[in-house]
Amino acid sequence: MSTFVIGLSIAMLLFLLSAGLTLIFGMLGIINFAHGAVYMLGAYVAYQVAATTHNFWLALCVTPLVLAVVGAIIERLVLRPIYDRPHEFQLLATFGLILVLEEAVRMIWGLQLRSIATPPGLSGSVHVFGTDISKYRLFVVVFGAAMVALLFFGIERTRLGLILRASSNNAGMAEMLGVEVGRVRTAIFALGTALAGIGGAIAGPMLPIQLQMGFSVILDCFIVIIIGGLGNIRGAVAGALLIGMTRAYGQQYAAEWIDIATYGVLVVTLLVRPQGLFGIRLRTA
Amino acid sequence: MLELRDVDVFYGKAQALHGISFSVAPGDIVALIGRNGAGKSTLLRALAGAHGLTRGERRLDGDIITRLPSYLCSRRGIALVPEDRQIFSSLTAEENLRLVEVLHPAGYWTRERVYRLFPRLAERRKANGISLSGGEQQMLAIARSLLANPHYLLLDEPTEGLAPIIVDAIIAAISEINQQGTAVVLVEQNFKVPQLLANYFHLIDSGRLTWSGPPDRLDEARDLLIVGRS
Repeated sequence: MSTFVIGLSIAMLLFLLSAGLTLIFGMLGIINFAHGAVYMLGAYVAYQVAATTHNFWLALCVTPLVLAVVGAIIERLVLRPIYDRPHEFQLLATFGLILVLEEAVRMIWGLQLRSIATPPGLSGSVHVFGTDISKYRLFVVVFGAAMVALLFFGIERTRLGLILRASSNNAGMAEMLGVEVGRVRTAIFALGTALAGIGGAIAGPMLPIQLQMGFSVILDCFIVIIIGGLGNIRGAVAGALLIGMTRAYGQQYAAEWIDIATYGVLVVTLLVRPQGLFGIRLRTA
Repeated sequence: MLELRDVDVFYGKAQALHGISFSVAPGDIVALIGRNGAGKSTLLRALAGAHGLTRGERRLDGDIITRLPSYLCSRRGIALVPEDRQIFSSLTAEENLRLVEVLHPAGYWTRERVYRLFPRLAERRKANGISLSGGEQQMLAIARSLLANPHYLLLDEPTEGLAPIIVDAIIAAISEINQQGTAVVLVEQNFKVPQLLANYFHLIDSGRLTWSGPPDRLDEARDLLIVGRS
């Protein structure tokens, strides 16, 4: 049971990051290699706010706002000039961003490991169904589920979501109908970055906060969005659950096989349904 | 008045339009007729702000709007329905319409009226864009642009490949749209549909306007269209 909850909590964390990654790809057509670095930045920002104010919840609220601004700036200054350029430019640009972000974080916070104290009330465990389950991980699951619901509602039921879905489907036509597509792109990138920031803040009390934390998670995120289908939020949920559970149960029962299992899931999906579980098969033009 | 003055348009190194001057006045139905590759779609796109002009001007009511991005042209009352319709495939028919509703202030054309113009659309409102037939997509594309209550509606081959009964519905719709005050530019490959609607005709070939005139001089133009390259 506790493995199940751990799997869910990993899934939620993966979802927060993958949702942003897949939204950004769906709308901007960019594979954002810097997404892991942004997640790391989120963790450090959350750490700083929590350390200064001794309030985890404040950190959780402030971090996405700060990261949204960072994301908007990155989109306008770095990405906007290169949308029309070949993919290599975007690859290099987002890769370059990783280096810039890492150095900035290193300059501000140094090399030592940081961590965020588990907020009071969520430390320790509860005894349910015969096992001990970490309260914080339970919180992560509930919080993650709430975020999934919020995202779905926002995308499927609001005007903004409608504009976003139309623009992702066909930016040129959306623009001809009156959508200021440039602004939508900035908003999506800011949203994706904010989600990664929330992921970083949530991860703070669970994982060590250090410069390499982005790398270890970004690979899983790419696997998630490929399995789920690029640009698809439902797919991100399904992929995150799959990989989260694989990781948790793998850790519990066959630790040496985790990576093989994870990549195995990826390979099988690509063989059986290369467009992803929820992806649409694109006709080659 | 929406106009192009002495416009050149390039696709990379290839010149698609040569010194085009073209205008639409409020209330007009103007037809632009030409073969495949003659430059009809390019001219419409240039008119709508969907393609940049290498030389020349685009004007709206006297204001120069050459550099105005297409979303602002849309807000100023110019609507383009492209040849491939470009329905948002992952949205329902109704969502395709709602998108335009939230982007533009209300006017004569409301969702109600648009469904009355195309009753078939009302039946299929919950269907996903991708599952609509060609005729339904065309009706949706026109309805969608209408909801912006444009002053100028540019239609790129709206009847191409459609069954006669749907063509009739679209012709009737265009007529009513024009009667409600929207000027229409109708692009087609032949005179068949335009001669039922238009009050002025242009012929285009290899990026140049080769003939312009009112319906009573159409016979001159017909010969030009048959004879071939100018």
